[in-house]
Amino acid sequence: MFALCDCNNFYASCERLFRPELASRPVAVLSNNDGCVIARSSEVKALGVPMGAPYFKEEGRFRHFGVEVFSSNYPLYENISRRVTETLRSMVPDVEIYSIDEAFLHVDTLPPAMADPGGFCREIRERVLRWTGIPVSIGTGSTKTLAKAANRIAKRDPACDGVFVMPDGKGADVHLGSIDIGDVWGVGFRNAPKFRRLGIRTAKDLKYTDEEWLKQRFTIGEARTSRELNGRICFPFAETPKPRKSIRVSRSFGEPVTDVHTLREAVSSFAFSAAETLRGEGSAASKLHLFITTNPFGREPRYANAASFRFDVPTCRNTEITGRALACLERVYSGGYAYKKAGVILTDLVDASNVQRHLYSVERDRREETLMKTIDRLNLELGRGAIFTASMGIEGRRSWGMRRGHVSPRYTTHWDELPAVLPPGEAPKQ
Amino acid sequence: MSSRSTTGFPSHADPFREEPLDLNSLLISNRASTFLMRSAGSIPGWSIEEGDILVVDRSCDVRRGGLAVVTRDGRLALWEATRDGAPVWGTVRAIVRVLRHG
Repeated sequence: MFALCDCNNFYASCERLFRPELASRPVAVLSNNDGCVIARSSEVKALGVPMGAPYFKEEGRFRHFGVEVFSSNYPLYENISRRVTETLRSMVPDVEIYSIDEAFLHVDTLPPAMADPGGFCREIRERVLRWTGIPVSIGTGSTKTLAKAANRIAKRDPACDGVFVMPDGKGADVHLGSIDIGDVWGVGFRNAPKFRRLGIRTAKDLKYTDEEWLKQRFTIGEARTSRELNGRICFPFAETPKPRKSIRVSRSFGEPVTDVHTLREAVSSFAFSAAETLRGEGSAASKLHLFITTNPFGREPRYANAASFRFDVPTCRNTEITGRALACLERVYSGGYAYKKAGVILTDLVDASNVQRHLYSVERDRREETLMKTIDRLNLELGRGAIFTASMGIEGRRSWGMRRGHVSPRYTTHWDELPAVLPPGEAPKQ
Repeated sequence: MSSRSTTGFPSHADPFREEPLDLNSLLISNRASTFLMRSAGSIPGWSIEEGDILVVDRSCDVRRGGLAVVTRDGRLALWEATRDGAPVWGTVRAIVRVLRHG
């Protein structure tokens, strides 16, 4: 049996942790650069603000309803996420981290969980709330897809109080019938209209659709989802997450960028950061993609373009990755536009230790490798941005830096940003 | 320095090697539930000064006569567990002060 533990409105809950006065107030968290709404407390959801809504469209409404707005504070979210995982591991040995706020728990080997799954999940829920302050919802089922569906019910139906156990066999049908096809794990919004046209409107409909027919009309993926809804495992429990298939570093600019120099700085910086992540995972990339785009919401002339480069030998070197990213930029850059976003994506990743080297460059490679290791170590010890390439420009002069006007303190990772506690009896300062 | 020498004889102390003391093991018993905070004022009865670091654990119960962090008027505040109080956020398990001019 699988259990899926999902933190409720995770980023918003993190922002509330050290600010108890926000417990019953609406809280919204914005994406990098304060672009869109990426987390909403239940009060904000009730206002009808959709996930991903552009902030500038909601700003007036937020002010009117007194919504507390935060820029994303990833150091905080990452730290709290780790605490949640650690708490889960104190009760369940096999925890598979699925995302920053979701984890699959493998509970087959735990007799108390098998005897009373609902009671066990409620215990987990209470402990996570007590230890970390984060409310979670837990759904269980005989497959991951069913656990995911159960979690959805646990989160939405107040009567569940955060825990829902999906019954086996036909007992599940009444619940699956209430879940829209677009909300089934693995279906996604893109395929949902096609399913609906074919008369498959709910999770239950998909469960009772013929597999062969699905394979013909869709792909093996949809057939598997149907099988999982029938309680047959296609996605087994995997303790270690698969290595990433790609690394993406992209950002919206604080101010629109109109000159190629600034764009070059930004792209250099993204390339540097992507290469750093690549080396951190012991990988090398075979392909590099670069994209630039103007504001899709703006009234100014729009332009977007992308270019790719395939490396002869997979690489993780700053010089090569930055150089190729800049060469791609030259190919797609067009003057006279106000650029809003750019990004570097490294794909076709391979294990760096398996890379076949060119015969004549062994000595050069070794020296490059030492240089890369030294840069990574210095940046780790002295803080991010201590060492950078000249093409990245000087911080502070970077007009393309992130806009984060509402960011909260890094409460758990910086000595000078710890939460403050008032002495007993003192009146609160306003 | 590694205690296992690569030349000469292995040290007789090797089997007795122990981990050096780590303050975390003294101050923190549950990493997942322990948060560090800073006192915004002094509390003479507890020898707490403004700026002291408080080690706050959410997983243990407050003992009578102990010190806790509670939510009071929507703010985090210290509370001596002698009387009934506001909802408990966590228990203060240790107080840390680094002497700047020591």
